[in-house]
Amino acid sequence: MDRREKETVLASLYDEYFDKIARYVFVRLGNSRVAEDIAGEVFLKALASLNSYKERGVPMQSWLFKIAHNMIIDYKRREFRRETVPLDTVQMPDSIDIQAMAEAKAEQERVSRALNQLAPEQRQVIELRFFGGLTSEETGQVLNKKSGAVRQMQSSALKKLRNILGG
Amino acid sequence: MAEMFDDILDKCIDRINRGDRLEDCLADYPEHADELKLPLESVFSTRDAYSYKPQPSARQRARQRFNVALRESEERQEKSGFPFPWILGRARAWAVIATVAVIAFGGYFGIMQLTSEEPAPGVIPAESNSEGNFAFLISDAPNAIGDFQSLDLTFSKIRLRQGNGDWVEFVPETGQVDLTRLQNDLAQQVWRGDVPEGEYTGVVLYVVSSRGVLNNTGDTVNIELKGDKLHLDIDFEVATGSGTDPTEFVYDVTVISTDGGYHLQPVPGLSGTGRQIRKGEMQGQT
Repeated sequence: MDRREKETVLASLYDEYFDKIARYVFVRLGNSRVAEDIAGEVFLKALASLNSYKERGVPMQSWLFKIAHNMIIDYKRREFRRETVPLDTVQMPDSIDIQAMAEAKAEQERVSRALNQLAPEQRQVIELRFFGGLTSEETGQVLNKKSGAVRQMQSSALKKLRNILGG
Repeated sequence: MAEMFDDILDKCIDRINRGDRLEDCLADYPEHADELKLPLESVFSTRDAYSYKPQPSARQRARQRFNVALRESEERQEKSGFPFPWILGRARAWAVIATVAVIAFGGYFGIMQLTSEEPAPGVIPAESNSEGNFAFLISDAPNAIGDFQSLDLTFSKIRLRQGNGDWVEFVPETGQVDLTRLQNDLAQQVWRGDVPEGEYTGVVLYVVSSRGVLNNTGDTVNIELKGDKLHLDIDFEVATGSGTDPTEFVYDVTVISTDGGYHLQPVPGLSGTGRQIRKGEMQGQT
């Protein structure tokens, strides 16, 4: 593929994969604003690095998730101190269902604790498969694993999640 | 047995990612339904706990920045692609080059005009055959296609460029498709027949018209493309095959929203043979 063709492919992936990448980053970092910023930066970084992208059986969407993964690591290294906003400065819309929000937040924390109990590679497989929407082959390309190994890790992770979450 | 279960579980997760329901997956694997139910329920509960979607305004801002960066990249390429930058500062040299270019291109297109209605040398017509060794399909990679309630792409012929530079040409059995019904892994076969086996390096789709009806206004708009062809440089091989096993080539196109309109272009990274697809319903006419 020449540069122009790569740009065409990258542009064609934007609408579908911006949301998937933002969701993947949100699951990893828990901050929606940062997730949206990083998702945008992934595509800019991909455009700037297009000359280094070599197809060789790795689809571009897998490459985008690799860039996202590296940006998440860089972000975690930079942001070693978490900023908190006092609750009384948070503006809430009047129509919001506080109880529903609290329940959703509690469920999210429950699932997050369960994911944290997985081995790091198992967790990455779950995040890429369930939140990034990648196939097991594409996940393998991001993690440098064979798709068979990804499927085994996926099965083991799901068994463990089932035991932790119950039902 | 354990390995087969992992594969089935994996396929079900792919289906769930595409929007299928749990019940549909279990119904397709009744012998494994009991074993599949709990892990697949864990998939849903894990995903549903994070029901996050990016803000549309954030997505739009990021897209605008990307579009600006893309335009700047294209402009840089056009400037740096000029082979003799020293000529830029020499007006007389420019005048000579411009004159030569006008004569050369004028002569070339003059010859092309004379012969455009006759079969060009090195073009092999291919006949359709329901058991042929090659099938041609069209699919859409979603981009701005969501803006349309329908988008009809009408085409008159297709040419495949062989490795030796000759062309194989055929008239599609179905000459019009609605791209809104062929998104992602849905593809429609528009021709099947016999083509020479071997290496190929390109595909050209001769477009007659490309028109869409917008969702929000109901207006009909023309979709722009460069010239009257969609040209794709791509390497692929046609192997011996017949009956139920032709070489299937998927030509993937995408509609992109640009300033002032919409633009149709091929997607090299998603086109080719060996793609996992689902066959869309037959539509359109020749």
